[in-house]
Amino acid sequence: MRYAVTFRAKDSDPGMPRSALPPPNQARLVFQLSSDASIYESVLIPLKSEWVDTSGPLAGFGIDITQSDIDSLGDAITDGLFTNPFADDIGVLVSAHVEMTV
Amino acid sequence: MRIVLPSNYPTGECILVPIDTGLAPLIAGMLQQFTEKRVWEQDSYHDGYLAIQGVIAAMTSNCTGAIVDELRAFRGIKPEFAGTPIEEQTSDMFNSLNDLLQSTLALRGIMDDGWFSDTYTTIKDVVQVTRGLDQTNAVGMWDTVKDLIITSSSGASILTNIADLLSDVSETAVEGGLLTALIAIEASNAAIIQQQTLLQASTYTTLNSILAALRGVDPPEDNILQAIRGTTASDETRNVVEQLL
Repeated sequence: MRYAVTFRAKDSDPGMPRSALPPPNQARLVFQLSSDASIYESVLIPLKSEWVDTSGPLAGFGIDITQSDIDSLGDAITDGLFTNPFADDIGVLVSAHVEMTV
Repeated sequence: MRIVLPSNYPTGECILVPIDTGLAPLIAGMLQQFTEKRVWEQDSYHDGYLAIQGVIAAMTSNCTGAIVDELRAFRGIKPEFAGTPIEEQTSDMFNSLNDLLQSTLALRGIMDDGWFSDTYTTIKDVVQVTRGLDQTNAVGMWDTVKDLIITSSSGASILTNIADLLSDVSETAVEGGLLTALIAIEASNAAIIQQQTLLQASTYTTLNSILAALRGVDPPEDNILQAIRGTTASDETRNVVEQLL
């Protein structure tokens, strides 16, 4: 003997479809590898709006890597035991920019 | 389907894709997916990953801005906009290639008279002026000067030739002609000095002949005064006039 049970469910909190949310902006820090300055590795971190350039040709996109937050984090990554996926040591921070993830 | 890195990568060639900075965060974000191992064939992952990281690093290189800056530096800003702040400078404030060409052509100039009254002056023309030559109007002027030096026998004839030369160059070769005239005057001076030297030599010879006629061929050992007064020299109490008296 078999029984079939049917439920009717109604979501009391429909929530917000993900596609309607504004995509989060992040900051991507770009480093050179210690072993070869022509090869790069990058790291995504949460973005503070005050990091973003407000003037110059990269206004709204570029990030000033001389700011204390960025500079400190860059030094920590450079001096730490961080590598790219292939175990190449990450070197100095060379640039940073805003990235919109989808 | 996973991505296979093209076998000809890296080709050494690249393309310049202008991306508005307002759109750049989105384009940069799209590159993220190509850094994930799952999208790559196993053999392509290493090189593919590094290739995409290279593209990410290039996102902030702002190559278009750099090229524009280089072009503007090459063109040079127009003098009237030299004080305009860099961020307010626009393309029309810089010289065009035609402006640069025109300014170069303007350096040639046309004179009101003389050689270049009806043509643009070239650097070659300027050199010819310093030589006192002009291919069209005064070819052979150096030969004229040479003839002055060689054939003119008197300062008067040289000066006459100079006057003729100046009259000629004022019509055809003012600039270089003045240099030529100076050279000709120097030649005249040299000729006059030579004539004075010859005249002095002639005068010296004539005087010697007169003296020889008066005293004989051999010069006397004493002098005329000694012959008049004798061997006793005059002093404050005795002089030649008293002896004669």
